[in-house]
Amino acid sequence: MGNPIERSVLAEKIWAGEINPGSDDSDKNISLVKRFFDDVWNKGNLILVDEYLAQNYVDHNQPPSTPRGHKGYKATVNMFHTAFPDIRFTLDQVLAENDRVAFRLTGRGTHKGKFMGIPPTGKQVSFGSMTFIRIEDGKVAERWGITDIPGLMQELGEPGQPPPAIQVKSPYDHVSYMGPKDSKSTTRVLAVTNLCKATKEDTRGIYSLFVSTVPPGEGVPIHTHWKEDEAYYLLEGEWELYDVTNKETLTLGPENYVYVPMGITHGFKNVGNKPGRLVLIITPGGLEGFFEGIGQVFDDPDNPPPPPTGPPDFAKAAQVAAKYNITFFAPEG
Amino acid sequence: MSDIAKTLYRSFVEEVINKGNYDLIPEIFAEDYLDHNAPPGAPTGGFDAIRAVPIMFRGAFPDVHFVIEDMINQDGWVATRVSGKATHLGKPFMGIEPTGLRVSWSSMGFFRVANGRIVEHHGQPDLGALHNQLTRKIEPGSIDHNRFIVSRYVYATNIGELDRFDEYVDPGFVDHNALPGQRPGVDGLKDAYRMFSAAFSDLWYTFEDLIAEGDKVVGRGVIQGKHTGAFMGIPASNKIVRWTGTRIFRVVNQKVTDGWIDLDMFGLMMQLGAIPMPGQS
Repeated sequence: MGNPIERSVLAEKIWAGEINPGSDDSDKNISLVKRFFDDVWNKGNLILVDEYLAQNYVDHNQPPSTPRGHKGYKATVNMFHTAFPDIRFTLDQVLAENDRVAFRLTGRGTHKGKFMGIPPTGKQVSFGSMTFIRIEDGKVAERWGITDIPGLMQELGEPGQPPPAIQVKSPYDHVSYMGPKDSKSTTRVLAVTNLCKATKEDTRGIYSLFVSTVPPGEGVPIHTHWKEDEAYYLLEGEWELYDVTNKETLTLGPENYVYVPMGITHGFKNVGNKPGRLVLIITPGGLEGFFEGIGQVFDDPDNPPPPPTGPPDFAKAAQVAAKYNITFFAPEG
Repeated sequence: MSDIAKTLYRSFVEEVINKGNYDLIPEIFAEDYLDHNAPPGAPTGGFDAIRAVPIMFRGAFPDVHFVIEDMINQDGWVATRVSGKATHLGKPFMGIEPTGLRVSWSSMGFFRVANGRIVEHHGQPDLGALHNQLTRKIEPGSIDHNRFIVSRYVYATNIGELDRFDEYVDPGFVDHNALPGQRPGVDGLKDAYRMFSAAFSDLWYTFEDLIAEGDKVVGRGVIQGKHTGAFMGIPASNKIVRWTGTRIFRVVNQKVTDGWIDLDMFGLMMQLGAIPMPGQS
């Protein structure tokens, strides 16, 4: 680069767009995208989604009513493969610069399953799509994408129909799972953070399931459920569990299982010096509504909002508790 | 690192789309430009194809504003990702008459540059998202609904469908700036419209702003028309004239009940030659 003439030739080429400086990873990123598309979109290998997408993958144009993260991505792939079993995507163009890749593709397939509420028509369709992704440490960290859904709907013979929200499969017709940080909703009640893994809508109303994190010295105050049984499986921490009805205190640690029948007045506290974690099962389901009504609801479990300042709103808490048939007892002393 | 493809695209977005500066098109695009995804019915090549897109968007969304979110440049191509924000105040879009709604959407494109000009383009605007927003349910009585009523009323005046006034305007409408002798109610509004449309053909009011609060909606814009008939005693001049107008409406029970309408009659009369222009005697 020392020679001024050479430099000006280089500058000329950069200016003309023939050379793209500062993008050493471009080739690597392009081949990643090609493999990803072939494996996941053409071969329908959903397991590999977890390998290609970063753990904290963010989709900026997620189809409505699909779950966040890997699960939502799989649901979208699955939706296309169910509706168009022979679907194949061709990458028409791929451009890369620095950590980003843009590509344009065409999907082609036969409409043999229900798609966005339209029953199978047997029609051969093709539709375009454009996507931008950001790659971090060899994984897809972010995605922005636009698919010509209106054009596709038109091909399926629904002219002028607004594209409806994408239908996710019913939770009751396939095996499903959820990753470590995924949740239906995350709430914080007093100091306890609850990742709701299953709401009553996901379990035919039979149960709700949470993973709760409790800071040292914190816990759940003494209360009684009049309609639900409760079970805990302790994962981490040292705990005291209070059976107030029978005036008993249990001191328990990891791998212990606890059962609290309805009508028994109870509470618990993390008495260790580290955050404690437990799995909480409540049956019948529905107490996620209580947590959402009484606590703070937020999106990212790693970035909770600041705790509320000022005294707790006891009147509101009592109102919500009454709605869910829960009785709280004033702290002693 | 600056480069020509990105610079050209930036000028297209910031000057042509956002400001409507169509004169710059020959400096950005090649004469034999090709659009692989031209909207249905629009030209697919040449400067007309380029103009068609901003004309369509700016016609439906006079205040459209695009922001470039990302550009990826390689081998003479640039991939672009933009977001648009706009108010649906102008012409129908995707068959939907103006709604007065604020909308936002994203768009992506691939542009090829050769010899310092954009020569071809593949585009993918998120029309699904836009359509969903334009057809969303508007709560009756809400501020959005008031904006909707006023946008539709003004659209009815633009296309000259007087019968549709009754759909949006209360029969007992009060015009607080009534012309001398104007009949009361919605009939007077129709009279005033007839007076203007008899003198000016192709009348069109373009909103530049629509602001709503409480039961009031304020529109600011420009009216354009061709002076093809006598107006207040001034014989037809066949001049194209533009004058500004600010209109405040009150909306009660989903009907316009009151109007305070200020038109730049002084500017109009100057353009018609009835009042001398400053500097002329």
